[in-house]
Amino acid sequence: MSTARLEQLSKQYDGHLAVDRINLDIADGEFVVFVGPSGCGKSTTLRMIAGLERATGGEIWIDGKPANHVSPRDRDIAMVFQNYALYPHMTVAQNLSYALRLRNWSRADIDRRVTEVARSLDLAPLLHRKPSQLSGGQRQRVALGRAIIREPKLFLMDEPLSNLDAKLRVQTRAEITRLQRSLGITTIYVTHDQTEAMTMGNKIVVMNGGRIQQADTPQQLYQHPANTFVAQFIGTPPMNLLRCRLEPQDGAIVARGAGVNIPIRLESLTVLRPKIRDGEFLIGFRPEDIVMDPGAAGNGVTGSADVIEGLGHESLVSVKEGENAFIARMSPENAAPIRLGDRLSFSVNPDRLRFFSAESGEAIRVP
Amino acid sequence: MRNAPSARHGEAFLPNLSRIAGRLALAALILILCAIAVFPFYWMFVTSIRPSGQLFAYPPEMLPSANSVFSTYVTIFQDTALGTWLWNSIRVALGTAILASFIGAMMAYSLSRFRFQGRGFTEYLLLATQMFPGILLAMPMYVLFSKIGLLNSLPGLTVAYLALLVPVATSLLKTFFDGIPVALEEASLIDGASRIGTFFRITLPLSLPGLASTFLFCFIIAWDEYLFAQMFVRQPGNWTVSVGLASFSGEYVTPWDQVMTAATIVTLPAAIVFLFLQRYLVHGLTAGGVKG
Amino acid sequence: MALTQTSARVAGVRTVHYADSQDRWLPAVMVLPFLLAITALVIIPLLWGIRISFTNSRIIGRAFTEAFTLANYQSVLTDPDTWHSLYVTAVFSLGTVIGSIALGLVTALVLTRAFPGRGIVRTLIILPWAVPHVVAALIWQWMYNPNYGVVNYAIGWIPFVTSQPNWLSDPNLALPAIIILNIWKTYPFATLVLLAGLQSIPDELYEASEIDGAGPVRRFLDITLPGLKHVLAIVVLLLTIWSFGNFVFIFLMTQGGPAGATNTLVVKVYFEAFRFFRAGPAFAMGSLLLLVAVLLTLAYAFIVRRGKDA
Repeated sequence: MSTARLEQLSKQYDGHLAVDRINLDIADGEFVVFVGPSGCGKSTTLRMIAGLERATGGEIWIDGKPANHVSPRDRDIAMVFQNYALYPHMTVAQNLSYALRLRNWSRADIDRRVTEVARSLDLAPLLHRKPSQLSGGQRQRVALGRAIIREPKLFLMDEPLSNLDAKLRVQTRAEITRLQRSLGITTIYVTHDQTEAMTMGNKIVVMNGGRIQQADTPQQLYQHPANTFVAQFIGTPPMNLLRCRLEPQDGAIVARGAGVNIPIRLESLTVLRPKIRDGEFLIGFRPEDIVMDPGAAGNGVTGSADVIEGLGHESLVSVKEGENAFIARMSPENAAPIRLGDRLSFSVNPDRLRFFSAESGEAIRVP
Repeated sequence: MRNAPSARHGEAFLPNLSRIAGRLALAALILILCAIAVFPFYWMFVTSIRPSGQLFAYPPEMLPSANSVFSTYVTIFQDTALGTWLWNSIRVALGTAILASFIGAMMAYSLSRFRFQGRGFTEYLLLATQMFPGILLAMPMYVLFSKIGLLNSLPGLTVAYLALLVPVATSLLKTFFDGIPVALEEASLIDGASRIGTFFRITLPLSLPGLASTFLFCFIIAWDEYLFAQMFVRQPGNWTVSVGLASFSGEYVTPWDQVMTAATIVTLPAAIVFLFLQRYLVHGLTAGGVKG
Repeated sequence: MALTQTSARVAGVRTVHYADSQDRWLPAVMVLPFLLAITALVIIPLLWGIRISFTNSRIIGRAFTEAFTLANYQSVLTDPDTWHSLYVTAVFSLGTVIGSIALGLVTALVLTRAFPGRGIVRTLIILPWAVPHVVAALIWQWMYNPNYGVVNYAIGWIPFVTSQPNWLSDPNLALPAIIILNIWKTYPFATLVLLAGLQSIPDELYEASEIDGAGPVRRFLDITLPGLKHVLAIVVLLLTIWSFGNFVFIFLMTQGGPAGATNTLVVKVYFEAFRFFRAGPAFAMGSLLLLVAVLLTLAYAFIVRRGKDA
């Protein structure tokens, strides 16, 4: 059990910065998920923590000790690889016990531990098979078993579920979460799938372009994205972002843009105004935070129905108006009468409105 | 001729006829292609077991003679130095194959796993040395070897063959090492093994088939080689089997039964090895440009 | 290394080292034997040969005066025999490439079809490639024998042909005879490479063009040939390079004769050096051939890389 800390950690390949001065504290027992599009530097960061890549700048601390110069074998970590990396010439039992044999455990201890781990992962009947005789899900469990067998300081997982089919992925997701909570081992998990990130992590680190965009709890990430990248990366469908300006109307100030006409609270204005002055900005809201409301024409968002997708338990309606477009989530019953091209009006939950700078994309937090 | 309509593919009545004709044409083509490949071998073997009195008969007999003799396979070792030549070839080929595989394995592993300056040039050099006409290397090497006294000796020939085989072994093994996922070695490093420990516990066991194939292929190239062997070794006692074989013809009356007997003996190991390795060779010999 | 360390220093952070100490010396140790072998056995001899080509050396291995001279190159390039040898080499290579690819393509196309015994046929067809070169030369020498050879016996079956050609002694027939042997020796390789190429063409392409209404000929022209472009380029270049450097067949069967009809460049180089003791011109010619070989190899490397990127 242990903590980890990244300080100004950087990785440069041929003049290109794959990881750009990232800072992060990982607490004991935490489940941290790195998520981002491919090439965002999340895997490189993980591999630097593992010691498989050398950092070209910054420090890695494991358990309060500098780890940059420690070889992977001395870092006391375990890693689950994307393609499992099971040793093809060894049986399941030999794969599991490899790390223990390298540490000169006694035969009896090895056998006991292998049996324990095999039982907890349902691998007992497979111990004498070779990896090539296993199904994808079974291989995945062996890879997990190889990681947990020696109770390392850190678990590192590099997209461990990406080779499983959709159904198995959901099942294994839960199993890994359960395992991590019961063992309490600090875990760093890399994925490109935001659903995986949201369901598994205590702390989610969203990366893009080699930088950390936001590191937060899943709830904070969803409710208060730090910038437009996070707003659009987290959530399916992503957060709606609409361009508008501040304009006076009937003695109040409204956000107005194509299809947008939303009054802004006074206390929000005091923060918002100095930041954007007369320029454009973006308002954001989640698809579930608007309700169809025919009377909301001057007080919400409007547009014509563009695409209607029925998912069975809910419907997603895409609405377009000029340069702006947004998606509304609603019940199938409410969506049923809507025809393509219909004019629709929605009122927006004022507590769920978010604001972003049009130039930098950074969130503007308002009271 | 069956005229039953084959309803399966909704075909008309007539195509049955043309399909049978097509089948027959394909069968004939296959037979011709096989004959092209195999007949010279057949002829080699048939000649080797023909009594010497019937060698120069015209028209030649296509089938093995009724009184075929296999005794040539024994007497050839008494009448000629074939035994010595075979033994020389085995020693030279074993020596070069072991050395080339060893040197090549280390280099191939480095090329496959480490990044260092001059990699691109090294890979070009690997390709080029396999493509150069042998004579371009053989002549200057002959000059140098004559200066340092390595001519006319089997160890000298073994060293000379390294020039041909180290690049071959390196390229072949590189394709094998490239096929072993790096993640396996990384997993082992994380599990607590050192680099060298990982090489012996993970990489080596997984590349054993590759090493064996490379070793065999190097052995066969050395076995087959003629140009260097005939330039570098002059005394018949030190000849390799290809030089010895070639020396048969050019005498006034070539003893074709003996020549073909020796040829059959020399071909056997080469043919067996090739049949085992053909899949690897296409990939390796085209510098990975073609998947075998 | 140097680059990353400097940039790290610029960024104001401490320089970094390998995580594992073995990583520092291991690569050097593993590369060293290769470098030694290649330097001593390939690079030094090649440079030495180029050096000799600029001297007046006569007998190989003997001392030569150190004076720099271009005379060897002059004599090689003005010798009509050189240009004749170039022509012979070109015919030999071209003949081999065309014959080998034609036979190889037919064989590969047959082998893509399912028929009983395909595995055995595939194995049999590899045999010519597997036979040692000296053995192949001896077998065909015996088959080409003017009086007792099977080739002339077979020709006797052709109507209206009565002559018994003396294959290897007839200036008009010797080169074609050796080309045929070389085709026989190399076409299995062409077959395997083309077969691999054919099998890499996705079935969907054929199905799609069949649905689009293409007949078998169109399918061959529109799908098979374009799909084989890359492997064809590889085979053509490899066969050219191999034929260009082939020594054994010609040396053993005709020694460059009769009347120079099969005197390819490599054979001529050999005889210049070892029969006529003109080492200087031999090495000059060798150096020119080296240049050609380097160019061919560069072309080959280019084609292989382009195919890998595609």
